[in-house]
Amino acid sequence: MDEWEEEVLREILSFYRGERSELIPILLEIQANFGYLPKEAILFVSEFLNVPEGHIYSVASFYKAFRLLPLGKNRITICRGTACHIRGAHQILQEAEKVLGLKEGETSSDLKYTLDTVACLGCCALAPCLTLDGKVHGLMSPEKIKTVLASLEDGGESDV
Amino acid sequence: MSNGPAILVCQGTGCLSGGSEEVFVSLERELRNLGLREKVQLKRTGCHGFCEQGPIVVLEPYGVLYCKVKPEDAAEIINSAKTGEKFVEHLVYCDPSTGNPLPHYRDIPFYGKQERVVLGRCGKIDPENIEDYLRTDGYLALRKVLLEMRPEDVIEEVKRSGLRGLGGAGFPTGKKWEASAKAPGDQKYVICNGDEGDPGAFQDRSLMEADPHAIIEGMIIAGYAIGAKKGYVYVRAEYPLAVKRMRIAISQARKMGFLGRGILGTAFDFDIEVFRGAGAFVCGESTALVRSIEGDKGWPKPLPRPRTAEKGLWGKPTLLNNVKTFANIPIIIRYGSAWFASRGTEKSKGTAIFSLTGKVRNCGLIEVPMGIRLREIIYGIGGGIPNGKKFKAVQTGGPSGGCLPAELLDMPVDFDSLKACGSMMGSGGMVVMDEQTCMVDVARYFLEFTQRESCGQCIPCRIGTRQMFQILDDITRGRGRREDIDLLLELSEAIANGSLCALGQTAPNPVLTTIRYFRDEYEAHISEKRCPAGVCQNLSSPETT
Amino acid sequence: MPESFFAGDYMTNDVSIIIDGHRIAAEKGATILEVALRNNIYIPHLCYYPGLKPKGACRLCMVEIDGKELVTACRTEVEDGMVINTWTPKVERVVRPIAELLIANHHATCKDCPGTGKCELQKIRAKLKIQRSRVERLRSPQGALPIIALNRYLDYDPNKCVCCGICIDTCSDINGTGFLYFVDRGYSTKVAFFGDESKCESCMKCAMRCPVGVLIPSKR
Repeated sequence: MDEWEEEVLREILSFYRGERSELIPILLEIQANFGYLPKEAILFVSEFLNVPEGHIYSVASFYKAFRLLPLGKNRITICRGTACHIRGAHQILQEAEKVLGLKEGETSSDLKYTLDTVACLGCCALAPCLTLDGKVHGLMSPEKIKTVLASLEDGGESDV
Repeated sequence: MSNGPAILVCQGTGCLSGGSEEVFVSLERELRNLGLREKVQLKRTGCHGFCEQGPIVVLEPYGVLYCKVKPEDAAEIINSAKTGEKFVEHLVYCDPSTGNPLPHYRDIPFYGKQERVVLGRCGKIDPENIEDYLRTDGYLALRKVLLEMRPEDVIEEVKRSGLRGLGGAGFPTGKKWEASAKAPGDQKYVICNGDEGDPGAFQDRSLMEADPHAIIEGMIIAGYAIGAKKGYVYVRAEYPLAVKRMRIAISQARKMGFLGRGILGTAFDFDIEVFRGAGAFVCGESTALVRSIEGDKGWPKPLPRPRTAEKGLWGKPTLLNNVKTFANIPIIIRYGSAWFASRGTEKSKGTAIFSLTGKVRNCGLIEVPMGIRLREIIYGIGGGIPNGKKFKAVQTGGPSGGCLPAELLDMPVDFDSLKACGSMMGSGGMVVMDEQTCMVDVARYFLEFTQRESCGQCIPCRIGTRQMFQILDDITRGRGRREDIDLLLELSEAIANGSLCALGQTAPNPVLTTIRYFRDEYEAHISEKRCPAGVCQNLSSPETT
Repeated sequence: MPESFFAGDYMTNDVSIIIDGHRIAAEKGATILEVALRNNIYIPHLCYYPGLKPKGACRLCMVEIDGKELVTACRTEVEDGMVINTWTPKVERVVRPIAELLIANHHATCKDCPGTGKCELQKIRAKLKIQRSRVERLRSPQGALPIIALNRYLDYDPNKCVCCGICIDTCSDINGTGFLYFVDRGYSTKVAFFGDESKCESCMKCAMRCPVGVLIPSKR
């Protein structure tokens, strides 16, 4: 963690009292700011809450929202809810895996993409759906996801 | 509501993802250009329910509903809002069977056959504005409770209403309140369970997004009734908009003196905090949810143990109810338990809220009287199965529920009838399946989910659900063995009776019901290596080309 | 959870119960499992260890009380007049499949296993007369996971772990906060070591108490 990241972390913790029950809210905030839970941050929180490091890892590895490794710049999260499944979410996932060359849960080595799934986004009427960096895209099809991912690729290249 | 015309833009998650914010911005710009910003009200509302047709725009007081609205439709919409008599034809919903335009939502079968009470305000008020809630009789129930009723009167009223919780057993809410009230303790807690982990259900999310104050009001009343000063709303982290709107509503309620110290000038103090879940289905279980708030993994506590009502959060008496349960409370208080109990069936009172999804024409959020027939929901409200396909099954209760076949379409929808058929009310997901849905694949899907979400604490759930998933996976890949159906039934019994918590105990339900009602599909996969629905692709069958 | 029965304050035999037809005098506050084991009545169990808090996690000690409900013997206190049956058709339909699942999932052979001899799973297999043919109906894991070095003293074999938590509770019992924790969830749940390795005194109690042969003293 560099100085700036440590500053961010101190800022996050300044809103908390240092009670054990604040563990999950704190981890969620770190996750939101850093994209994952860096090891140094976990040690920091361990000291702040006076909770063993092992307990934090135990909790962090239990909940789906937490990541222990850095995420890609673009996060594609495919919903695997029941309505999405019935309407072909599996094909959407397969197509995304094919296009990105990633398996579910993986991040590309250049940290450009993370492909993930979620139990349910609660947008069942728009099934099958996915989120792209937090924004919901509904009524997907294998063709449509190709377009969506291609737009990412374009955006990514224009950055360079 | 004021008398001038109002344009309501749905901003539920469904419509937002369809671009409803862009629609709102465009309408706002157009109104300003026309100099009508003061004359025509423009509002963002929560979910209107008809998500399939989003983005939805509604014109009040005319009751006109526009579907699939785009930003470029703004001028035409404003024009039609002036009188409410001329409609923007291409935005009007058309009856799919007759093709007739139905501009008023009361005429649309999707709405006409519903009984929207709990969802009454959804899509009609701005959830981020407490004034809208107050104008629609908001916090009147709280006023009545605090100024005219004793805590025991409130509990009595809830008991008399017959309201039941949405857990597997459908436990009477009033009894739960009574137990929490009677439990000794100076510190007590009220928790609202908004950890809607059931894949295929979104009604808790919609309520939190569309009418957050109703939930808050219900929670404050519960706090008064049981003697609690502190409440938590437990919301899934996957629902950022619900978190945001609940937080806004809480801070507005605080400012207006509905939360905090000395509420409405009485000696009653109560406050609410939002707690974000971190993604674990098992946290819908009360003891797991409590542990999660305490900063722990969501491992349910094994029996025998004290009830949450007696020893819950930090060992203190805790009342835990679902979002919808709390939203029902102000209604019961305002209209009386007698009115509430007059609707529904003998043992299931009031209304039920479902997320109607899957292979059905009109997907969306619906509220129906308890006891309504399944057929009425799927065909009357849902508009039947699209693309001329045949109905095969409907799944209720999510991973803990079951799949019901066509023979049961005339079954009344209530707690006990659903349970008797091997399913449950649960969180209210209702997923319709047609002839192109493979029931073995559905069972496989649910077991894939439960084994993924198993907390890992007890062996039957940790290893057993995994084993069931592997067997089902084998069957869908043409590797099924003759003895597999019996093996699944055997494992189901052991897991149902041996698991530590409700997640494991109910996990076999999707398998049991699909075997019970669709055994022939299992047999076709196993003996003939054939998927009758044509879903499972990897079967090595000579017939499938 | 009643705390009293660890305190050793149940000296008076003041409860009379019947287990499998035998009338037994028992101490108030003791659990069914404790009383049964003390009276040489075997009830299968994996996650129970004397002196540690009973977890009710393995679900193997389920017994039938008064011909009605199934309860975990490790967490249920005896009550006067209780009629307990440790092996009824109802119990068997739960416990036998659980034991078979465990064995099918136990990705290892007993040869060279440090657990052989003291292994509770071997004992359960023998006592329940578990047949190979029934285990073979089940799907077994494909491919073994690598052995994990927990620290410089201990290796961990995830293929055999039954996730009973005895090692974890033993460690925290001895070392206050403890070094061992469960990580991940569901089927991936496993034991991991956290904290200052130099503070682990390598007392090896965790390995000794392991009901199977998961914790292996490191050869390094």
